[in-house]
Amino acid sequence: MIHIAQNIYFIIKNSGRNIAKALISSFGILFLISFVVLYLSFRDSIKNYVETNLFGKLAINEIKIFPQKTSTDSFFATASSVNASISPETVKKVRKIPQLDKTYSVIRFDYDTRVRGELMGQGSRIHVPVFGMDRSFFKGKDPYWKNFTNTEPLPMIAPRFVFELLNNFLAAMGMPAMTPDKFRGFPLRLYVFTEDPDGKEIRNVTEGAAHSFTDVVNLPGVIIPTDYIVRFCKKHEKDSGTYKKGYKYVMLISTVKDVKRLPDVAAKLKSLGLAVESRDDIAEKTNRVLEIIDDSSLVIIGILLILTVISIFNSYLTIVYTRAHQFSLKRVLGVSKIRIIMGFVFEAAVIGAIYGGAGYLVGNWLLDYFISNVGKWVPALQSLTVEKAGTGVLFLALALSASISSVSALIPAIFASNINLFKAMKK
Amino acid sequence: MAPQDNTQPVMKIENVSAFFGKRRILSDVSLSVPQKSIMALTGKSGSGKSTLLGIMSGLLKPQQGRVLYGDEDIFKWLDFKRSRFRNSHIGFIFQFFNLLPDMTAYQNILYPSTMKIFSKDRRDEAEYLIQHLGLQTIRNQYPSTLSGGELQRVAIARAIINKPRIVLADEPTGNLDETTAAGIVDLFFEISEQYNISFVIVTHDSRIVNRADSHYHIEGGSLIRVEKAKAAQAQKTPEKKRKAYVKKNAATAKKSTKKK
Repeated sequence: MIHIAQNIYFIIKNSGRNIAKALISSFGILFLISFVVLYLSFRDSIKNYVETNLFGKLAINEIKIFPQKTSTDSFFATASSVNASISPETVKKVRKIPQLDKTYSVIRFDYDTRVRGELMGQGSRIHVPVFGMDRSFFKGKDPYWKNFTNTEPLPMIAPRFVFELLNNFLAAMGMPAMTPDKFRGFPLRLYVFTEDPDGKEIRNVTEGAAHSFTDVVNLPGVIIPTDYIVRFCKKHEKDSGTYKKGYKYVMLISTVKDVKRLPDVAAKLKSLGLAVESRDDIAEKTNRVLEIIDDSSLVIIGILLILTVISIFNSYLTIVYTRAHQFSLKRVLGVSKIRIIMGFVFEAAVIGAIYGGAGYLVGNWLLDYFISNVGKWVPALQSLTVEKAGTGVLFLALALSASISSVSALIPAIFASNINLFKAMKK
Repeated sequence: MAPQDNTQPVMKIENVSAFFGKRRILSDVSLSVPQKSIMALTGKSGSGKSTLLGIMSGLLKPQQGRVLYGDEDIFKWLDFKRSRFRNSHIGFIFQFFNLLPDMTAYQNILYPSTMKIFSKDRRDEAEYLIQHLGLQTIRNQYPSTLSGGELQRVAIARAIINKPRIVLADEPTGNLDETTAAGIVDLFFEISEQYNISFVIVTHDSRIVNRADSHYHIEGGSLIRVEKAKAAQAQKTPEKKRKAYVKKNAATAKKSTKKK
């Protein structure tokens, strides 16, 4: 047993010494693995964020209907729909399609609109598009949907990211973060600017209150009850002396009776000059965003990988030549070629695994740092929830780094096993 | 694997030819290494002496011919088996000692026996060799602190730690002073006798050539046996005459081989 232990000691002593010498060559693996750890951790978070914050949520049987001129290729088709509209006749035709169960219209004030709010003594009145939606759309999606009616103060629903911005503002003022419910009833004021027959601006003010925040529809403005907009427009349709409807249809949200018939419905809607977006389309758009993220990450990983492999290859080649005498002597004393190769590759794998583990720790540390600071850097990303890399990623990091390192060292190892022994012995 | 009886040669080389590129280094060389013998191998630089040692140890594969250990051609074995054979049955001694610099004298001696994790425990042999070769005082010293003679004695101990059948020595006294070299030569003969080991020694040292059981000379890729008396005469002859003599002797040997 002592003899075997002594042999193992010789092997470990020999490898340990070589590992210490070769450690510097594989430093690139550290960067590579920490990037992979960051990438894997961020990927899912970004997917969720993109789905909910950029493209909104749809049920499987829900579809969004846009005017045709809105580019459906754009990731922000909904946002660009602000400047396009669906004619009332087309809306009627859509409502008559038998395969559609319910159709909710999204209308938008065709007047200049502003909303004023005040927080911590600082008030501002900003230009913002004002949309109208029926409260029944929010049934099952908003716990306070019943209160979303044309009453005074006027309930206003804001996009979800506004909530993040407000909390960020509070944090900057040294205040604790608030829940969405705490913002309910927060006083707001709606300004709608109409014109008199002389072209003079008339300011119409309505007191309002924050109702809720939503990520169900990703409209780039506040949502108020449709009744208010329709009544307001009816009241002011002749203010300028000529008739002005005062609002326009920008989007319809419909539920399909039978999901399998969705392609037929989409074809019908397209024949009416409309564009359609379903959950599949959102998934597709999300995937396209992810593809961009994946592709760019793969390019970075690829570059890091190439640089790492070249670095390891070169370093090991140098090690082979500086240790040529040692390898030759081992061969002469009875070590087989395969054992030289295996020893070299094993040595590289151990170094790779060490750096893999280190890369995992560095990646997780960077992740921690990012999670605690992302809200300060980019307020809109405050809702981005990133989960730390788990043991699965650790094993992946170890396996990946060990493989990269050993594959990079393989060719130098073959060189090492084929050194001209007598030439080396005579040096 | 090893030869069965004491009369059989330890190793036989049959019609071996070796080339480096288009250059022929060895041409149809045949040789038998008897047991417990010392064979001197002489020749000019680049004549193929080291190549022949490389072939005998299985490190260099000849383009033609075969090398028999017992009845088996060592080049028909896989590299793994040939390496094991080299470790167990062949010892090496070099002109420049080739000890591992970061191992002590004792660790260097023991090193060949640790190549396989489950190899035999040779620590007793190592202790015996340390005593026998007078290495007690330097056993824990590193090669950088040792003299040439001490280094070569450590290298000899390392070569025979696994009790090989053949030791291949490449100019073992070439880097030593007269007195030390004489001691090392004595040691070879003593070890050969005591451990039943055959030595094939590439050398220019007349002490080895004169005392060797057989003497071979390589010239023009051919291996020529030099008779003892003639060899002694050749050693005494001035350089020019000696070359002419060896050349003539080589021609005679070739003719006699053809007749056979």
